[in-house]
Amino acid sequence: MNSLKSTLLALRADLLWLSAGLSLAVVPHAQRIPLWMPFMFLSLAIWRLYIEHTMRGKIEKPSFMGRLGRQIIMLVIVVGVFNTYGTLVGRDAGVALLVLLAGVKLLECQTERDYYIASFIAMFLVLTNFLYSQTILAALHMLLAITVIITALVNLNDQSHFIGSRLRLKIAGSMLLQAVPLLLVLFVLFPRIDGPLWGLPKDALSGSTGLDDEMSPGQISQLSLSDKVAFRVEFFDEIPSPSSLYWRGPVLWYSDGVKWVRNKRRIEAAAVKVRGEPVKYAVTMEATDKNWLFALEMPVTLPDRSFYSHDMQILSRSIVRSRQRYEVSSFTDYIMPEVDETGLQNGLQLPQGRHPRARALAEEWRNEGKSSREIVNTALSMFNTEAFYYTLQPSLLLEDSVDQFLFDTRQGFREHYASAFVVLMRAAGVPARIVTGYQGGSINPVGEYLVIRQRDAHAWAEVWLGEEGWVRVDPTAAVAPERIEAGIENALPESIIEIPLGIRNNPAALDLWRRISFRLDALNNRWNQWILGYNNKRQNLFLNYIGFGDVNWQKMTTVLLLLSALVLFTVCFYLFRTDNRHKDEALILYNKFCEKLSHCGIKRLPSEGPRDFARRASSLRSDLSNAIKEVTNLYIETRYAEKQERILALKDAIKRFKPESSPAT
Amino acid sequence: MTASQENIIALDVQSRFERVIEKANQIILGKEHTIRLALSCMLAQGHVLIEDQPGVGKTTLANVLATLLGLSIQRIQFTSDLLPADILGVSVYNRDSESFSFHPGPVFSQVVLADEVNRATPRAQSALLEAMEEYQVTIEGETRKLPEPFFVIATQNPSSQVGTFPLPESQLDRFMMRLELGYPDGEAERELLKGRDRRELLAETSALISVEELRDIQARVESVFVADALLDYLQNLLDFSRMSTDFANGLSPRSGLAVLHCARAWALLHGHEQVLPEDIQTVLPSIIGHRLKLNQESGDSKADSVADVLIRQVPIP
Repeated sequence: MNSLKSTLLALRADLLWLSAGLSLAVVPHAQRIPLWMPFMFLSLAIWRLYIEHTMRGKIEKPSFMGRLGRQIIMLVIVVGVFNTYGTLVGRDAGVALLVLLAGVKLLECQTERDYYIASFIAMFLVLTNFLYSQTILAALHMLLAITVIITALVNLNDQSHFIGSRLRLKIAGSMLLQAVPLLLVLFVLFPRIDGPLWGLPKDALSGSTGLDDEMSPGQISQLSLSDKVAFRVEFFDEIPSPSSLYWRGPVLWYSDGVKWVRNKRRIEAAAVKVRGEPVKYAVTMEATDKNWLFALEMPVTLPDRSFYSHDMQILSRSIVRSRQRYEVSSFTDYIMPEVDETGLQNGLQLPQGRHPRARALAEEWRNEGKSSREIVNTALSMFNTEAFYYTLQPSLLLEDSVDQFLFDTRQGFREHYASAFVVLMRAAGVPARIVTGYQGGSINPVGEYLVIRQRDAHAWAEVWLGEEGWVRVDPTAAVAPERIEAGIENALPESIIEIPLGIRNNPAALDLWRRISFRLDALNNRWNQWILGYNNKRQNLFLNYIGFGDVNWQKMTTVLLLLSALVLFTVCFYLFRTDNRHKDEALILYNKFCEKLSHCGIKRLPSEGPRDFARRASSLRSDLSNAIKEVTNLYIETRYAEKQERILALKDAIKRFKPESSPAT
Repeated sequence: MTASQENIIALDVQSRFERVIEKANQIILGKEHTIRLALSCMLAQGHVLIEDQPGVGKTTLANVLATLLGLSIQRIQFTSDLLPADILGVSVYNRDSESFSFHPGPVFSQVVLADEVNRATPRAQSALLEAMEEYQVTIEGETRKLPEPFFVIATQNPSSQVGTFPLPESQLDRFMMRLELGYPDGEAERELLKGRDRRELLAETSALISVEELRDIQARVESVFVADALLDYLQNLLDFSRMSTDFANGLSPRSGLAVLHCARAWALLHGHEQVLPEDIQTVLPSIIGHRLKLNQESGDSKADSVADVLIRQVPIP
């Protein structure tokens, strides 16, 4: 019993490290799963430590009650997870199940094998965090957690307890460092394949926010609360003025009075006439569950694998499931014609029997004999001069949202202005449509690029002015021009933007805060570009750059295997070399001798000394006794008296030693 | 000194000790291996604990060894009322000189035969065990050196017997070797029954080796060659004892040193110039027997000694 006790006492350090590693692995998931799950995990872990504390290493066969208890806990977990997610598989349910089962595994950790399994569960848990987040922070967290888990494994393998905790941590750290060459080889060379192989599980995108392909009041205002990055843009030359930064997204044509939806005609867009110089830039888009690619109005070149919709939105051939980088060039000065004039009828559609007051007003304008241009201006000046307010928290519009907004509340956000304006235009006989997308963005002075966040989501209108084609009209600009000029941050109530309370009124601190956040975003951008955005295109570019020439995946795999083998061989060489210190030549020779004897059926036991073996062998084969004696004496001299000069004699003696498999008669 | 000269001396040592062994073997019949082990332990300057049933010749063995090596011997019979002063000695007031004069106890002797050491109270035991460790005793504030060489040969009855105070592990560790004599085999017993009284035989024997020669040989033990390969083996043994779940505790560095010393003495005793793994394997059982404990569950059968388990599982590198 004594030794078991000491073994278990020894395991205590492992247990602590392992619990720490598992807890670290659970931490990032804790915010995503229901509160009871991390709480339950923690309780199980504390319970395990408490058992360790009270039992002081005594080991007991689990009693019937203990086994029953575990079954009950298991049942609770399975039922709980199923109840929460409606399934036991998939990303979210799987992770939740894993977190809880890790707690149970910790609880039943007893043998060495249990500890190993728990360690591997911990490592897998750490990995699952990447299904949710691939930020620098997630990577740093992973590094920390893996270090702790490897330390637990070092503990597990150091049963003599000769080394202290700090040294163990150091060993774990150096093991991780030793893995760096392999990591680099794998990162650079592992074939990146475009396609579903690398896709995340289906539910991975459920939480992504962004523009929708339909619009109803309140939708964009919701987005404007989100600080999440939609995409980042690097301009190759100068950044155009803020008032021309309209990032075109879905174009909405049809309205049922509340909701606006797209017109999915499958015809090609008419060629845009452009003037002036193009703006060239690269967009790095965050994942969405749509196939839209955003570009500055009006794009003239297409990224790979994409096409224009009939209303000049760029659509990708596949859904943007992961971060994507593409280069586009656009002209900010353009004339956009309509593909076919019959299509203009769609720009006059109004839901039957809705918006009577708006229709009446527009009728009035039309009867005054105004031209399209004049009608547009009348509407804009109405927004501008009458008491319209631009607000994030408009009063609730229950019945006819357009009429109520235009004539009663007069408080609205972008989508209200855009939809009311388009309704007025259509009622007045001017073809119009709503364009959704993003407007503006904030410049990061550190990285010299533009960040477009969800809160920059915007809706504006396009009206058909005959010769001039589709012309962009932004009714929001008429009400809150500063919103277009300076970005949303000034138009929004301060509380929306995440600035800590204490520094809001302190200009110096605010400045510092801004600079730090710029720097962080720049770092993030680089991470996204070079680490996460290292796709097969970048890989090809990079490999070309370092002189691999034309790369295909076969070539890449070959090089990958070769380099990995090289790294592993280097490690092996190092290990074998240190081992050779103990295995001197005499032993190698002696082993040959033993092998020869073993062919005669005389096998040396691993713990049999040379003299004992010689005696035994001679008694079995008296015909060989002289030769055996000679070899053994030489071996003892070279190996145990370290007379290196006898090594040749030993070599010679062993060469001459050719026993026949049965005694000569 | 050239190699051949060294060889001659080695042979000389061997032949002298062969005579000692031969003579001892005539008195204690059929226990040659035990005698050899005890002698190597003495050459390695270690103390010996002999543990066995009463009446198998423990005391005789101690006496024979002391006599043949020409060492002075004092016997202390340990009893439950033995006091430390009975071992170390006392200062007695001398009326003539009007001062205290020290009367040295039996511990001031080259060989101390501590008979039935586990029958005394721990207090009395510790008095002797201090002397074993320090090679000096402190009595009434005055430190007195013990004679050189100084050996303790303790005998003890199996602790299962009535009226014993088993030695704690820390004190057992002070004995380099623990030997068991065991019953003589049939032939030896027959001869014993036929032969003369052992005590008479003992009285007739005289020293075969002088104290100076003994100390000279003790010094030569250190020069027996130990190769790195052998140290690897010894280290593997120690490591294994610490890592394996077969044992309740690991071997201490001190026991490692004891094994190496004894293996050297054993090699010297047998005329070898270098230590071989076999030498380690031979002395190992008596050195680790009282230091290492087997886990009850492990071990293939009860007959396996601790050393067997250890030796069998550690390959010779």
